[in-house]
Amino acid sequence: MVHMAAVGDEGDPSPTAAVGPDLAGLLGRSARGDEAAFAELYDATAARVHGLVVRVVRDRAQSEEVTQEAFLDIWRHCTRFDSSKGSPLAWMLTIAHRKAVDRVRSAEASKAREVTYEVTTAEREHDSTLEKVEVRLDQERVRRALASLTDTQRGAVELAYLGGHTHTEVAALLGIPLGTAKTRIRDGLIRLRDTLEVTA
Amino acid sequence: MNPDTHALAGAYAVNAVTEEERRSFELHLGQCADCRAEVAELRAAAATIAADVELPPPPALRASVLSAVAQTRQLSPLEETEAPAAAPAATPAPDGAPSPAEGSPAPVDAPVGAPLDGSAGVDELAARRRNRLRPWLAAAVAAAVLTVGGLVWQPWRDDAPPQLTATEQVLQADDAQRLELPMGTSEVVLVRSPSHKQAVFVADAMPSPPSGKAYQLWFDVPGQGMVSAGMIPTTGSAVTVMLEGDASTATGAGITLEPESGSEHPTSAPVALFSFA
Ligand SMILES: [Zn+2]
Repeated sequence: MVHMAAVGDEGDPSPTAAVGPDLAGLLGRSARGDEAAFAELYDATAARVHGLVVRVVRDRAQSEEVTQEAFLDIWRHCTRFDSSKGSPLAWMLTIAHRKAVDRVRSAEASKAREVTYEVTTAEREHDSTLEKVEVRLDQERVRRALASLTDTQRGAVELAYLGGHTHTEVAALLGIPLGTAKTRIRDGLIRLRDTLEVTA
Repeated sequence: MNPDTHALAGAYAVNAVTEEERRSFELHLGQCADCRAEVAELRAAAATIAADVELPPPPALRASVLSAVAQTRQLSPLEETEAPAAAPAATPAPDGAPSPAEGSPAPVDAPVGAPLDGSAGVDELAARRRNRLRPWLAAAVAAAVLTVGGLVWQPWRDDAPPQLTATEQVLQADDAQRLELPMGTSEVVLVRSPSHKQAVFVADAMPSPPSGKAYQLWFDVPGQGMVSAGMIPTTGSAVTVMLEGDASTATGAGITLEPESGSEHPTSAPVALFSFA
């Protein structure tokens, strides 16, 4: 495979690397009310943001609502983004992830009657979602980093981050003590951080 | 500081905490530079987990977002409180958003970010969700709203144990009985606490029900047979749901596929059966 050669063409989509367009610059212009800059920012990041949201929420129609909510939040808060304190993409994905988790949890708390529509939608959308998912070229790097986690760490981290579960639910799902799930999630993320050498 | 408190940094970074744990930990964040730095780094690391997934939203969403943006007021970079947003679609910042008090963005700087936004009354939707989730917490949420001024102060101590949701109380009960069964590609778990008289169903990868159908939960009650314990919401395949009814007198629980509106009695063979014996 020719990952290394190809990566430069597409830009490294990891949150810490420069991604094609100057996201920090676009956020800065957006913060001054520049809607055209925000449109560019949307174009540069929508697929990443929406991809994460769909991974967590699964249902297509709801994912679209969540992605829209996330971008509106990004618009409202970009006035307070400080590029010296973190990567723009990581900041944006953090906002989107929180929105997605909130949606999943509020949906679980509501009665099935209220989500009848989504039930049928989810089934219909599932396959087409997977078909359209584009596998990024730097997947190999992230996969290596994830592979550096122990199986138990990786399982706990994925249930928490992609499954949208609380650490208490992760413990219940895995049949492990409460403190253990909390520790596995943290240790797993720390190892991921150290392997990727990401910085906030 | 209780080392246990620092240990929540990972779960907090990926939103794997309850609202109560979040508030408690954010109080700690305000005092612990180590945890602030760690949360920022772990969030950046977590953001790579889904790096392999890109899914362009439908083109119509772009127009919808930009149209909403044109009607949505941005926050002042410095103000500590925010005016109500112009657009109804506007929602509050996750605590991942910048701390208003510090005018800085790093999600971690936001020990006060979430409570401020959430409590300032701007995020009615989220507040409503929280209330629906835990009606008995409504009073506490309302109390937090009243205490919010320029800076947030919460009426509980940093080291106080976070309040638990009803679901969490069952999952953490001393007498919790854990029953698991394979279903679909993974396992489903039923946790029952006789002392709380409640049971919680947890699944990470619930198979999608056929079109027009939904999963219904049942308690096996002596003398009454299978009694409905509610429907399983299947918005996503990850599910956590409290069963309706008294779990202490039931001798078992089951799951069947039923019409979306639910049935009075099971109309199909169970896809899962749990025995409490
Ligand atoms: Zn700490």
